[in-house]
Formats: sequence, C-alpha cells, structure tokens
Amino acid sequence: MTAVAEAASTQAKPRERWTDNKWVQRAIVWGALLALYELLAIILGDFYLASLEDIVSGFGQIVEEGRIPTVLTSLEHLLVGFALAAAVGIPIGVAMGRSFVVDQVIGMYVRGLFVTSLAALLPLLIILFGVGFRFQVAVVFLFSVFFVIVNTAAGARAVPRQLMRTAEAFCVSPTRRFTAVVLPSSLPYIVIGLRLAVANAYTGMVLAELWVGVGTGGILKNMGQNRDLPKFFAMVLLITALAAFSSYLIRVLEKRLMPWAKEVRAA
Amino acid sequence: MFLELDSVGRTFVLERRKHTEELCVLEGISFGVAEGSFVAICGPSGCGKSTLLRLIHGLQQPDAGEIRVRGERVTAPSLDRGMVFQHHNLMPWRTVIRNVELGLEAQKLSKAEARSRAERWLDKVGLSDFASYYPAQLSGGMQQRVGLARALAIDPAILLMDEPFGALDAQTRVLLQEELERIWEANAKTVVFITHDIEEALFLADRVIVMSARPGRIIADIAVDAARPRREQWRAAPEFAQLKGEIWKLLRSGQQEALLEEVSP
Repeated sequence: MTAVAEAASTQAKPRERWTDNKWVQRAIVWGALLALYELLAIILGDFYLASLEDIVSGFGQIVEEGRIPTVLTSLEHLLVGFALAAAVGIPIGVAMGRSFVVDQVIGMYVRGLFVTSLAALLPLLIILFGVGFRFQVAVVFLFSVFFVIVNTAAGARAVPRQLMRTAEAFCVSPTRRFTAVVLPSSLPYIVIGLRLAVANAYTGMVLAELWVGVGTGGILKNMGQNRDLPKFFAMVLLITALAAFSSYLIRVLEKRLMPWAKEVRAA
Repeated sequence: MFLELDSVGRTFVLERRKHTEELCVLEGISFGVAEGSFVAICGPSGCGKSTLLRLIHGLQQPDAGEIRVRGERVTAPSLDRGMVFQHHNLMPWRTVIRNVELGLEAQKLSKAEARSRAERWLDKVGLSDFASYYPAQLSGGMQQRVGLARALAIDPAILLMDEPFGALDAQTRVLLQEELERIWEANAKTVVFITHDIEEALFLADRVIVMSARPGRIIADIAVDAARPRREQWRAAPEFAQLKGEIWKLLRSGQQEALLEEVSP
C-alpha cells in the first residue's frame, strides 16, 4: 500500500479489550435500562406501566388483530409526504442559499413557519383537505419540509467561495458549476435536513391520525382510552423502531452518496 | 509582446459601517512577458500580487489600463491560461484524477481522451498511483501537485501560479520548485509566478519583478541570467546571493510599511 495508508494504520492501534466492542457496551447500557424499567413497572403496577413480558405479548396481539396493514397505510402517507417535502424543499433551499433575492422574498415565510406551532394549523388543514389521504400527506409534508429547506439553504450558503472561483477559473459554465460544486458541497447539510425531517414526519403522521382518530394514531388513541397498556406500549415501540430505521436508511444513503467523507474518516 | 500589461490599476471599495473607503491595490502596472519565459513577481504581503494574477487570468477586471494576450484584451477566464492557487482548491468530493479533469470538461474532448490526458499529467507530477484517492487523503505537497497537474492538463499558453508553494514546509517547497523547473523546461510554457519568497523567485525565474507595498507598483525588473537546468548549484552560486541581497534591500522599506499596516487592515 501507500505511504499515506501505512501512516494511518501504524498511528492509532492500541490493544483492543473486549469492553471496547460497541455491541458489548450497548448490551450493558440497554440491559441496565431495561432492568430499571422492569423494576419500575413492578413497583408502579400494571395500571401505570406494562411490564416487558406484557409488551411482548401485546405485540403478538397487535399482529393477530391485523393492525400491521393499518401501520403500512400510515407509512404510505408518510412516504408520500416526505418525498414531496424533499422534492420541494431541496430546490427551494438551494435557491434560498444561492440567491439573495429568493432569500429576501421567501426566507421570512420559511423562517416564520419553521417556528410556528404547525399543530395549530391542523383545523385549517382539515377544512382544506378533509380528513383522508390528502390531509395526512399535507401534515407530514408540513412537518418535514421546513427542516429540509432550512438545512439545504445553510448548505448552499456555505459553499466555499474559493471552490466556486476555481470552477470559474477552469471555465466551468454556471449551470455545470451548480451540479459540480454547489450540490456536492451542500450534500452533507441536505442529508442532515432529511434526517431531521423524517423524524418530524413521524411526529406529523401520528399527530394527524390522533387528531382525526384514524390509522395508526387512531389505534393508539383507542388503546390509550381503553387502558390497553401492553398493546399501547408495543405500538409506540413499533413506531419508534420504524422512525429509527428510516433515519438509519438515510444514513446508509449518505454513505453511498458521499464516499469521500467515509474515505477521509478512514484515513 | 506575448503578454502585455498596460498601466493596469485596480481599486477596491470597502464597505465600512458609515462610509465607504477606497483602497488602491495596484497602480500603473506595465510590463510585458515574452512567450516561453518564466517571470516571478515578488513583493511584500498585501501589495496586490494575487490581485494582479487574477486580473491577468480574467477572474477580475482592472479599473484602469488593459491586459492583452497575443494582442487580445483579457475580459474573462479562458482555458488559454491555467491557474494554480495558493491553497490547492481541489474539490473534496472528486478523486485526484477527476480533479485533474476539471478544466478538460469545458473543452470538447471525448471522455477517454480527457482521462488519458489527465493520467499523463498526473504521471508527470509523479502521482499516478494516487489517481483514485480523495484530496483529503494526500499530503499538502501532493495536493499542490494535483493543482499543478490540473492547470497543466488544459494545456494553457500561460501558467499562472499564485504562491503555490507558500503553505508548504521548507523541504517540500524546494523539492517542488525543482520539479516545477523540470516540468517547465520540458514544456516551455509562459509562466507568471507570484511569491513573497526571494529565493524561490530567483531559483525559478528568468526575470524577477519586484513590487512595493500598497498601492502596488513595480519598483524593479531584474533579469536572472543563470544557465539552465539550474538545480542546486544555482542556489549556492555567489551571483544568487548577490541578487538576493539586492532584492531584499528593495523590498525592505516596503515590507516594514506593510507590517505596520497589517495591524489595521
């Protein structure tokens, strides 16, 4: 191999102990948390918390009762809303970051809505879209689009000027400069925006369904009202796991799209 | 003359809190450069050397006077002039070879032709083994060599170098200077080389143009008639030391002024 790789490999290689393994560390921390929870559940009793065994059997019941297809329908709304947010948010964000005029014209609305409590808009959205598919998608969209816009704009603003000038010096046309410099340079910010957005898309999805009592949120509402805690906790955990998995998928995408970042970390 | 500067001037307008301030960085710069010669421009920091190079390249326009290449006025960047920057300015998301291809993309070359040309130049700067690396994985000297290959790959008539070795350690700098001399001898481009390092200027150039501190003016134009290839013998020659002393004396007064001014830029 080369001098660079050699230098890197000889530099940091202290002897590894079994406790250095991240899965060992996780098992310890998670195990401790679960034990603590179980203890709390025993102390408080099943009126307030469901014990771990109950949650596991609650999950079985959810599957038996045929709740999974409902969750999948909710996920479909989420996916459509999130895809729309990305498709709309990234171009707007880039335009805001690269153009002073665009930033002046729409920036204040974006920043304004970004800090507004979007939940307060739900009644208005019901008036506009009803309570069906369009409403669910609209809520997910609104809950996620501003994170995409704001982060993408920050990335587009942070494109190093020297690199733009270098591209100009090598006669790269303005449109090519866009794809050759602006987009790759903003990519890390865009990905962060998407990850924040997907987490909020889940919030939006559940909130919209809770509001009108349909889908996954509707199930949660019923379970809560009936004090069916094992199933309720199992459902919440399922949604949390799905959200974490979505965020993970975006990280995988990030590594595929930005090989240079990974190689740099490895060096 | 191949490259001509005709009383070129440039003033920047600084926006202060309540008023605007005019800063004259270059004033009445006139000189010509013959085809195939190596000219170094040497001056204290803040004397407008880098601005001058950007004007020659066409990235910025002069407020006064004009710049001509082969009698044609410079108004925009062109692939006829290749630029090597002070900081390598490589695209972090492109591999080394893709960085070298940057300027070739604007030329009407087939992909295969661009690739083979980039490979050829990467080979000439001794980095063919690193084609698939990312810039951040290379040392400072290697990054600067990629920058040089990128500028040479477009086959420019004029190579413009803006303190390309300024940020490198002393040993690497000397090695790269020798390498540049070798490449220049083999390819005979016209080179305009900006530096604040007198030794570097004397080692490389046929001619050293000495500038004063702000506003930048030409205070001397010194011919360096040493036989080529120069290599290390020239650095040790008595004429080298003599010229160095001469230029240092010229720069000294201006340098002190610049130092005082740097406190309040």
